[in-house]
Amino acid sequence: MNLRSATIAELRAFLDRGDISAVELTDYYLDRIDRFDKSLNTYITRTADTARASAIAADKVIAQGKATSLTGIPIAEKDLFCIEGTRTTAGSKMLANFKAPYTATVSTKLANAGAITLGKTNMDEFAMGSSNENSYFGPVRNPWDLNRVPGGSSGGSAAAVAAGLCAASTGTDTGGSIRQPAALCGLTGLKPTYGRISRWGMIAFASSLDQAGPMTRSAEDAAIMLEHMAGHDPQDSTALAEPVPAYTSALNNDIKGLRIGVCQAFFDTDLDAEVAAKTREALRVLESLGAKLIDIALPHMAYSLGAYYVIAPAECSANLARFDGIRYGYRCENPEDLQDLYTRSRGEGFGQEVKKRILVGTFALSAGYYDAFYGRAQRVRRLIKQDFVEAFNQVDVIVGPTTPTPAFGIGAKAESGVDMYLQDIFTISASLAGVPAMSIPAGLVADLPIGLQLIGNYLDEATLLNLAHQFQQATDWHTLIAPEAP
Amino acid sequence: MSTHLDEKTLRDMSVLAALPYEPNQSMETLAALNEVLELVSALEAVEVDNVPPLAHPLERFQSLTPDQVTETVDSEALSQNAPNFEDGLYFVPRVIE
Repeated sequence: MNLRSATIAELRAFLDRGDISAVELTDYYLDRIDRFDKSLNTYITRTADTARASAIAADKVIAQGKATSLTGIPIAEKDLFCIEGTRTTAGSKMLANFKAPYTATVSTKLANAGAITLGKTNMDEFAMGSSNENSYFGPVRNPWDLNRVPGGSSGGSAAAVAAGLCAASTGTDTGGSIRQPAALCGLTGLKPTYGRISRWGMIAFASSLDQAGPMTRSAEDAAIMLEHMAGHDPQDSTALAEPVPAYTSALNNDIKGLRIGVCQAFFDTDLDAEVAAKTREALRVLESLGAKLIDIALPHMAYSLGAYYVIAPAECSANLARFDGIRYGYRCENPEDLQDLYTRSRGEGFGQEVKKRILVGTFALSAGYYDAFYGRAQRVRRLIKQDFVEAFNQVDVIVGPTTPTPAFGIGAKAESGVDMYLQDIFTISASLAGVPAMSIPAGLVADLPIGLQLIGNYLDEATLLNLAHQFQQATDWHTLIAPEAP
Repeated sequence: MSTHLDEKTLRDMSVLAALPYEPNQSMETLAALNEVLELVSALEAVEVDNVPPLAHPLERFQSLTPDQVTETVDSEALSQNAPNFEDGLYFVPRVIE
């Protein structure tokens, strides 16, 4: 019984056979958190007491033979999901002492399924970043190389799974925040179709883009997690009223004849030569499994970054207006008057990147500039969506790299904002279009993991998960263990 | 659209965003903001005259619910996170002298 490399599916078998109890499994992960998290910094808040109580309850359910696929499985939650009575910070000084008064739908669903929450994971402040260096609680270190970033914004969630400090985790993805850290940490990460998972209780960054998703050790685990996370929610009017397929039942479908779109634009951009070579190697694996590679074009992909950095800041400037230092969150000392209270509380409570994006968004929405910036970006967004609609008339899945490079050094890009934004150059277009996309491990470059991005048609997560699963049956990149957390 | 922010616009935006305007950091802030606007200026090359804006990626109507009270706000729980809350009131500096 190798717990370090075990997937949710394997842990399920261990628990059901009685090889280990949920309490013992929970203590195994809590012990690993004690041993490794001083250097990794993946958890902002640990919930050991409630985790042990949940584990005791899970063991009773297992003994009754009523376990779901997640009963007794210890997971971590990105610190963007509210859990009642638990500190929920969004990685910000603004919410450093905020105790959520209610629980996110995603967290409720996972808890109802019997998953055990070990704690809340570190992240870029308000999910704005690609390295986890924008956290008030300090940077997360990549368990593949402690001098490198784990990616972001779900960097703590990614590093925690990669280091074996939980069996799986939740993340959120606005422009690549699940897929990019999954790629840099050697994980499977899925951003579902916009609206597939409820956003209720998930602290908002950019509401037309934000989407929750699982971060796991395998595609099978992602399918298990998604089955429990997805579904309509009356509390979120954007959560789609569509049935949730049994994703795990669709994992063994033959991919012979599956049409895979390959967009040359992914390879013409600033893509590391070795990442490009590994991506082409992965495409050959898919071809050997019977998939057909078809060249496609996404003519407006080059404008994704520009559109995103108008739309996301615009929405963030509106969403973060709620932090006023009065009802909740940080308040400055000795305000002179009400305006001083607002201004200094926000100035001291938000970090630099968040303030920068609020200012960009405020400008893009301001009188005289709205049409030129926000209006134009929303029109370009339609063209980007249309590219995907046309591509999916020809192919079933689009495959390319997740990131231009493997994990970069801590501090290497901190001084150059736009250089950091380029990390998401391959992931942003799927976010703008709202289509599902995932990253799966596709090899090592300089002993660091890289990701293969699979982009699917609307609501067709099942095809993505099956394709990822078939790839993982033919390769073993997803089974590699991060060397700094053996 | 190739707009570059100047100090006056930065001051105005800071007021609108309720963020402090810090003259000693304005050059650095302006440089960072203008770098983003430079990135965004790539959108100028796209012909969008007859393209309607896309507000919702799936272009669906949001689901509606009956206009019924389904939950009540637990004001005591909400007040726990307020920096200064007493007797059912949020306290702020005096507004009217």
